[in-house]
Amino acid sequence: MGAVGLVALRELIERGRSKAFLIANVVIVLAIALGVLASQLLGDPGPTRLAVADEEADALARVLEQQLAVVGGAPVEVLEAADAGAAEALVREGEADLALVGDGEVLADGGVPRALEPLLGLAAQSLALQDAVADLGVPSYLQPRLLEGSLTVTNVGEDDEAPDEASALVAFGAVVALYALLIIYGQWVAQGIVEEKQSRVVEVVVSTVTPTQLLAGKVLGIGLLGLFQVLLIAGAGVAGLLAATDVAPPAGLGGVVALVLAWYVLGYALYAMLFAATGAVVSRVEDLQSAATPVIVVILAAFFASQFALQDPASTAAEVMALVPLTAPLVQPIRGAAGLGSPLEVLAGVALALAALGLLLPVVARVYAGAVLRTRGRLSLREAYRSGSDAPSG
Amino acid sequence: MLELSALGRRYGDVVALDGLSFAVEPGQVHGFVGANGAGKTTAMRIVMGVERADAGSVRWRGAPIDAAARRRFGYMPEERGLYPKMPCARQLAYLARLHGMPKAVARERAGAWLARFGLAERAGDKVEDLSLGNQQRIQLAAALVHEPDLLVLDEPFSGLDPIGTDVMVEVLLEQAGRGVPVLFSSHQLELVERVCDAVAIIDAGRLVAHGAVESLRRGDGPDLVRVDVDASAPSWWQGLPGVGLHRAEDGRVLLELGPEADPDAVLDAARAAGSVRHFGLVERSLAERYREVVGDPREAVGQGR
Ligand SMILES: Nc1ncnc2c1ncn2[C@@H]1O[C@H](COP(=O)(O)OP(=O)(O)O)[C@@H](O)[C@H]1O
Ligand SMILES: [Mg+2]
Repeated sequence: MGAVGLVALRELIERGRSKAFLIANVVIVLAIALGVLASQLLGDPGPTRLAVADEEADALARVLEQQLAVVGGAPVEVLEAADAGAAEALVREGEADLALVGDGEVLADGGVPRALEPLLGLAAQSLALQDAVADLGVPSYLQPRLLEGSLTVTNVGEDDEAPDEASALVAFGAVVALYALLIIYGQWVAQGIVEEKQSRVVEVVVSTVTPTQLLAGKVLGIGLLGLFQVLLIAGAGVAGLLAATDVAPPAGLGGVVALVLAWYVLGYALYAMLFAATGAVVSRVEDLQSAATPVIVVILAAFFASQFALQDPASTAAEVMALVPLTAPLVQPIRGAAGLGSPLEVLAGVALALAALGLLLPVVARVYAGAVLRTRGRLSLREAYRSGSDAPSG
Repeated sequence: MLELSALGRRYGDVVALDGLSFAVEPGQVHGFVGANGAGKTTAMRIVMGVERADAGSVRWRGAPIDAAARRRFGYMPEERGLYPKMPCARQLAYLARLHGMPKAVARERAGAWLARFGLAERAGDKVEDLSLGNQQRIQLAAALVHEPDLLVLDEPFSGLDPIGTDVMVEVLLEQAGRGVPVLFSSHQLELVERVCDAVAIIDAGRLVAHGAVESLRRGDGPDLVRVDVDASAPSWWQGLPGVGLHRAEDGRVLLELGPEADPDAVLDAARAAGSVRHFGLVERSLAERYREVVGDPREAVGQGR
């Protein structure tokens, strides 16, 4: 086995045996299992109970019921109350969630559920419209046709189906997992580098292997541990999704999992390079946090950007972020889960990420070579890069 | 044979090495002494490829050192360090494999060195859980575990207790007995004198004395003769050709005998002056020699850095 393989194997074994890694894996599996369990228990909130005080309120409730049926929201249960006071009492006692007491007045204990608020407004509007149409003297048999809007949906995308709830869930889970893993394993790389400097063992190691071999082995070994965890999360996540019987597995789930794996590898490689450079220039683990802050800020920014993509995967911004190397690892799985990213987009994103990696690798290797044996104090990236050119070959 | 030739290294305005040349022969235990900051560590780091030379070169077995040759070197850096959380046996086996040993052999050698140092039952313990003395032993084992072709040890005796020192001496002699050149730096001149076949003394990055311990001690200065004579005339030796006073010592004198001096004539003159209680050639110690070429050895002894 070559030097890189030996270094990677050491990282894999020593860190793989560490309590931190074992605990993290147990926590992940438990969290996913709990998530599935919770979605089973809390998944169905039951119908919204509406207390109606008079006929007008009853009519409003019926319109709301129809609208909810159309948009697929939770159903409503109408409770008839004698008057406004009785309706209010039902809400106070918790027998009803909302009371409609005429004149568009809604009584709630706490607040109106967010999803319901705009629909209540719409229901009131459409009732008013019906009244107005009736007032114009339109014969009653014509009134529905007059009010009937006409909407024809034409799918101009290449995909047959609009994204459903399950695929959004998959996308969200994938992005959170990727974000967490990139940060955790990227920091392991930086920390491992500093620990070797701080313990001074690096001088013994670098007298037998080159700095580049040491760096490559370390990134590879830690990356493999991360890959193991991605597979664990993907496996447990998919199993959980299938176990939750009320959610149908989204079409193309396999493709999304493949995307997540591929983008973990590329994203990890990119961010590990940045973390490696920050780790190389400090000499004490205590100084690492501040040195690594810029890289963590970049990942955080990419994560927040990906949340916009999650809201609107089809937006131009999401399309652009799917190509930018530092955001692509988080955004491409989202677009993939939404059935958007074309094979061309995936290829272009991968090509750009590889190109960025190609630029980054020699720079980071040189910074690392220039800094790895400077076990005192902290040096700037520029200083490290400069002394990396004439560092001993090892 | 390891040859350092005309090595130069500057750090800004500091000249760490200034044309340093000497060679270490196979099977030789070779000491490397000099005051703090003389450039010993820099020279050894250059040999090990973890520091760059501005000028000069290092050759091993007649050729420039490549990665494969260097993998066969054993090294103990001035600043010790191992993976603190890695168990002893796995750590030694890992380092042996980095140095090119097959897995099974690496494991076997790691176990053998642990047993040799009486640490067999600590094989599974993390290095950081060992006492400082035992950590030093693991560090030495790390330099030896791959059966190196050359040993470069930077102040291997610093911080060792007397038993640790004995073990270290034993190991160095044993390795030299295998034909391995052993280069080590030290401030303990008595120890260097006792253990080494040859010594290089450097000062401010330059070689100031080099050679076999025997000839180094004698040096090229005058022979010293100590004479204790019950003489009425204290300056009985005056007028003898090539003879001068080195030091008067409470009734006795230490005389310098130049090349033209005749020891027999000195003894005759002493007899003539009174009854001779002692007459003998003085062996100079390495420390004395060191004082002559560098300055007060007390500056070099002790604290380390
Ligand atoms: N990395 C370095 N940066 C700046 N100066 C250094 C560095 N390493 C060594 N020196 C200087 O070079 C000189 C020789 O140091 P060193 O080789 O450590 O001496 P020794 O090992 O004999 O005590 C000293 O003046 C030391 O301060
Ligand atoms: Mg030194």
